[in-house]
Amino acid sequence: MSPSMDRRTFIRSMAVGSGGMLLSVWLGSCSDTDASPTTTTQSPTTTSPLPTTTEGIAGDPTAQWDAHLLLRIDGDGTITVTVPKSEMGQGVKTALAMIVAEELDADWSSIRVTTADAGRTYGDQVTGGSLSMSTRFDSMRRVGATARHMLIAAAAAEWGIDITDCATEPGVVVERNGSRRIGYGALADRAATIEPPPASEVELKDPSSFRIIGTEMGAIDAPDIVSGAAIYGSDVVLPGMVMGTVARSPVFGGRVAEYDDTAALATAGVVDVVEISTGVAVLAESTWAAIKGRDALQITWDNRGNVELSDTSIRRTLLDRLDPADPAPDAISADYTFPYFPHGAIEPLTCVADATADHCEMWAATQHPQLARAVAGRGSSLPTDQVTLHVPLIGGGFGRRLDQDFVEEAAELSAVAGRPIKLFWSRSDDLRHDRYHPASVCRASGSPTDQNEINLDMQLAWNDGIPTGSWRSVTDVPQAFAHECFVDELAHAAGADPYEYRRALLNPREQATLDLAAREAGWGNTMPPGWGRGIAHHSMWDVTPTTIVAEVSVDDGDIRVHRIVCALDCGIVINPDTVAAQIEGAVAFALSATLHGGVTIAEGAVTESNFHDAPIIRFDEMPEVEVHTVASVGSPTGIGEAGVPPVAPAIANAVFAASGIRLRDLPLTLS
Amino acid sequence: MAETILTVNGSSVTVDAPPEMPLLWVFRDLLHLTGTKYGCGIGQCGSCTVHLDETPVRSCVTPLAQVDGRAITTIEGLSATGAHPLQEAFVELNVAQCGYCQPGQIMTAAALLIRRPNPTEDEVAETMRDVLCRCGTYLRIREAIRLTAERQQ
Repeated sequence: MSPSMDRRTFIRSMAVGSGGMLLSVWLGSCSDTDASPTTTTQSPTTTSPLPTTTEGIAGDPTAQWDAHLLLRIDGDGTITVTVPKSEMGQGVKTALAMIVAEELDADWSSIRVTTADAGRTYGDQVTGGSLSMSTRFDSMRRVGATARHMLIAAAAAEWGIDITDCATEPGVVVERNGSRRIGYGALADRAATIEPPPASEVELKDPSSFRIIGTEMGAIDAPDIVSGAAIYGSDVVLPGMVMGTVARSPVFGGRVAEYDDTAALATAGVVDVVEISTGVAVLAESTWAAIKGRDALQITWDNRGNVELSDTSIRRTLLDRLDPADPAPDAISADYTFPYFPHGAIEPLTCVADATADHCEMWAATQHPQLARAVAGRGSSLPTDQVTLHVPLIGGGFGRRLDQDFVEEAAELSAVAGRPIKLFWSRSDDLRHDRYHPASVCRASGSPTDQNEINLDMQLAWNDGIPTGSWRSVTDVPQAFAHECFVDELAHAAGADPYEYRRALLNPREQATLDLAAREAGWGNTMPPGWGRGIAHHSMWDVTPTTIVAEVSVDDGDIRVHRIVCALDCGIVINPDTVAAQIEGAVAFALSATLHGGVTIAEGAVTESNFHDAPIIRFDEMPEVEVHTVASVGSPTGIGEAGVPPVAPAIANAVFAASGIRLRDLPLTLS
Repeated sequence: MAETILTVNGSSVTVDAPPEMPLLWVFRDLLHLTGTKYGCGIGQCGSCTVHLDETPVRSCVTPLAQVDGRAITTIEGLSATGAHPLQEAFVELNVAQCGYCQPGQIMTAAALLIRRPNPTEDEVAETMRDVLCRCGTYLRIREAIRLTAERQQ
């Protein structure tokens, strides 16, 4: 079949040997040079923190036609959607399949979803920046609509009637003025022989007729998750595999000077000790033996002079970089500070690798499969073409798995060891060798009589000796904290209500979320003594306006967050339950940072080692969360990060309302 | 190494492992029962919770030697078909996000409901605060436990 083309999507079909059809969709290339390993070492900027690859057509698409099989319809009617984005709890498998199923007019119960391997023909597989819906909504609709068109054409040919005399019901083509019906499965063979229609002939549904998009669909993996059958990166088992764990320099930038592995090798279950780029690796028959063996290593580290690093010294450096406060007569100014934040996913980093002389097969729970594949090639000294990389479920991403250090380490370890390995990172490894959200200070200044002229001078420690990376909502978090707390300070100085005062700063779309949140929260209603209400607004990536109202109580130095009301505008809502869940998650994520803070750095290393001294919020600290969306027919904008930035400032502003105390440093503490 | 006979999810299995090896690694590495998750290794996060008889324990800090003949239940054995009322409620309320901590959440909640079929909100909070979730599914876990308790009355 010859491909048909619209702006950037090619579609072609083919038969499946066992019966059925495959719909291949070209979504633009992601060349291996674009996904070169060097992108990990570029310092992220405040506006573009993601390692980038290029989405769009480059070269001859039909030359790389084989891998991008997005939609498969089997003879029994089973429909399999291959999703080229990583699932980490944000619901992308379910949501992208819902979009295809909507336009295909599929019966949802016939839908199966698989995650694509890393490939250069899926378009950009980076899963971050809240981009999956906004970048794939149109193309996934088109995949579904094209397949539906071909199924209708197949039925029309079978019945000898015009395609305009055919329609669909879920999973079935029906004759408009007759009683004939054929299921998609029975049509798939014939549909595979039909030339895909040009884009101009493919009709997309009017959003008012959506019957899947906009409904609360349960996560496709939920049954496997609750039964324990779901496979995460750490659950992959290969025949003959050994467990590997690496002793890395506690001090950032340190290297192995010398080591003695006698005791490690004498540990029961340990099979080998090897030195790799990142440290000394112990390989063992069980994870337990690997841990014991690593404990038994005697290593002398060359700390390369980095022991001088501490978070207090870095904070002083950042403060020195600030401009002096605004000297205007009625200007006020305030400094806000953030520590280094770890990611703290419950599944620590892990990766399974099987590198041989001519091929490397990887199982990596990564947010950047194409870059992971490229660095696995580097780690195993093989060309990228000789690397296959599968993407299991991710036990929490939050931006950590946009960096591929753990994937390269696993590939190298397997190549050096000459056997399949599972790389194990302990909780302490994960906490002490993170790619942290950079510490920052932000000086806000402005005049109470002109809230449109707020100046923010934000200094971030991207390159001050501590490894940094992407963290859910990136630098919008400290920026929103400074801005929204400072607006509250200006409102107070102007003697104005913070909600009314803030309205003047916002455009109508943003105001709609502000008004909705204030109304639902009962803004202005009296609260008990010691309680306070605070409001904050932020538009993540400038596309998802989100307002948070927080209710807190302050008692004997303790801050307790009782209720969070959120209103947002994310365009067309694909799955309302996922939007609610992502906001609940954003609140929990932000609350850990707001109340428990980040990591301490002293003598060049992270001081904390586990959840006992680097806590995240627990069940009994979780406030009630109410989520309201502004009705919209705009394109979906993304909700994975939108909820995080306004949470901390809303809480700090509520603490001020409750106690009269301004807190400007995270974590918020009254003692 | 020493051979130990265990009863796991109703079946008798023999494992060859040192007595100090935590059960977590016996399940994951030797028996390939990977539903029980590693999160912290020091009994702080609860992702590795399993039952010894009907008592919830942290398998990451429970050595093989401490099993002492008691019946072990992991998430894979909580119900034959994944149809324990809590598992059904977790699916129905779409509790999981990434899902990694959920086996530990479900095993902890299941043990609570054995001990206290109709727990108060405080009892639920007191018990469930021992299991961490980074995705923030706590509110839905609370709802799933409440729903299950109601249905079992």
